[in-house]
Amino acid sequence: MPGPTRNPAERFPPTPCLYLRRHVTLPESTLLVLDPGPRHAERALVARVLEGDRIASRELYDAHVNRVFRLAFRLCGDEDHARELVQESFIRIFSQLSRFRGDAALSTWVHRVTLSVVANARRRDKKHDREIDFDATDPIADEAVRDADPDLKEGLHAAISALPEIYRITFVMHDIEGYTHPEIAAATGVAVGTSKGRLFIARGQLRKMLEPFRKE
Amino acid sequence: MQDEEFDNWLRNAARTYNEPPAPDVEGMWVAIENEQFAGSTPVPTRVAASFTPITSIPPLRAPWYNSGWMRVAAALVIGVGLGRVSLPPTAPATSVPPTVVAAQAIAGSSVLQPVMNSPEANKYMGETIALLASMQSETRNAAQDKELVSGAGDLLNTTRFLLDSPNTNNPNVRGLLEDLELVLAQIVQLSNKTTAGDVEMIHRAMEQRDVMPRLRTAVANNYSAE
Repeated sequence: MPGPTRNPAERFPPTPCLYLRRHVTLPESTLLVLDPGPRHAERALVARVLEGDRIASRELYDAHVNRVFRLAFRLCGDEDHARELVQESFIRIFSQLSRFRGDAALSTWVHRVTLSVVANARRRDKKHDREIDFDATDPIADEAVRDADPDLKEGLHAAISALPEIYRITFVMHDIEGYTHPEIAAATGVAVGTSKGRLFIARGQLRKMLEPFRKE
Repeated sequence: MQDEEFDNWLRNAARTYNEPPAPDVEGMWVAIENEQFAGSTPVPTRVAASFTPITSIPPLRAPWYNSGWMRVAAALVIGVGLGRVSLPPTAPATSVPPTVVAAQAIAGSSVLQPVMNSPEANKYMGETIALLASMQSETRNAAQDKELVSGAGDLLNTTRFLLDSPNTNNPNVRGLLEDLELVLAQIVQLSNKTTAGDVEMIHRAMEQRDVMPRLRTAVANNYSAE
C-alpha cells in the first residue's frame, strides 16, 4: 500500500506577493512583518531546513544571527554570555523548527525563542530558586543608579538595568534596537497596546530615576 | 534640561547601553554545528547567494517520530499491514476497480454474521457513515469538531467490541472493522492543534481503503437481508 507521504514544502503553500515595498514607503522593520515576499521566501527556507538541507540551516542562521546577538548582548551585557545565549537559541530554533507553523514571520518566532532563552538564563543566574518578579525593580541596580558616576550617561545605564524585566526588554527592543511595537508584541506574546504601555512606563521610570541628574 | 530635550537625550544616550561588539558569527556556528549536527560534515563559511549546493553533505533529518502526523502515518501503516497479514490469501487482482472489488466482497459475504446483522449493528454502521460523512465536510467548526471527536470515541469502543466478538469471524467484515478502527482512532486523536494535513491524511486513508463504499454496501446488504 502506498503510504501517505507529504512534502514539508506543502506545509507552506505559496502566497500571493503584494510587493508592498514598491508602493509604500515604510520602515524596514515594519516590512519584516507586512511584506509577504520575504515571508514566502522564508517559508521555503524553513521547508528546506526541515527536509534536512544543511545549507538552508546555515542560511537561516546567517539571516538572523546578527539581530539575535545584538538583542542578547543588549539584555545581558556580557559577550561570552551573549554567545552562549545565541548558541542555545539557535540550537533550540533548529530542534523545534517543525513547530513553526508559518502564522507569523520567522524573525518573530526566532526572537520569541531568543527571549525565552534569555529569560531562562536569568532564572538560572538567580540560583534556580527564585522566579523573576517582572514588576520588581532590581534593588542592587537601584542602588547602582544612586551610586553611579555623576555622569548622566552612566546614570542612565544603571537606570535601564534597574528597570523591571518586562519594561527593560520593551525599552531595549524599541528605543535601542528599533523594533516596532507589533514585532515586540509578537515576540513577547502580548498585545500591541500592552507593548506601548510598557514602553510608556519604562520611559517614565527612567525619567524618575534620572531626576537627580537632570537637576544638576 | 527641558522635558523634550531630556527625552531626546534619553533616546540617543540609551543607544550606548550594552553596546554590542561585532558577533563572532563563525565561532558561534561551529559551536551550534557541534551541538546540533554532531557527526555531520561542517558547512564552511557564510553561504553566498551564488553558492552551489554540495550534494555530498549528508542530509540532516529530524527524527521521524518528532512529527505528529508521521506517528499517525506509522500507526496506520502498521495497522493496515497487520490487517493484511491476518487476512487469508485472496484471488489475484483483476482489472476490476478496487471499489467494486471491495463492494463485491462485502456483498458476497452477505454480511450474515449474527452480530453484524442485528439492528444495533445497523445503527452502529449508520452512525459511522454519518460521522465519516461529516468528517469530509469542509464547513465544520470547533464545536462540531468536539462532537465529532466525542462521537468517534464512542464508535471506536463499539468497533473494538465488535472486533473482539467471536461471531465476527468473516474476514471481509473483520477487515472493514479494522479499517474503521484505524480511521476512528485517528479522528479521536484530533485536537485544537490539529493541522489541515492531519485531517487530509485521514481523508486519504478513508479513500485508499474504500471505507465509505464498503460501509454503505454493508448497510445496504443488511437491509436487503431483512
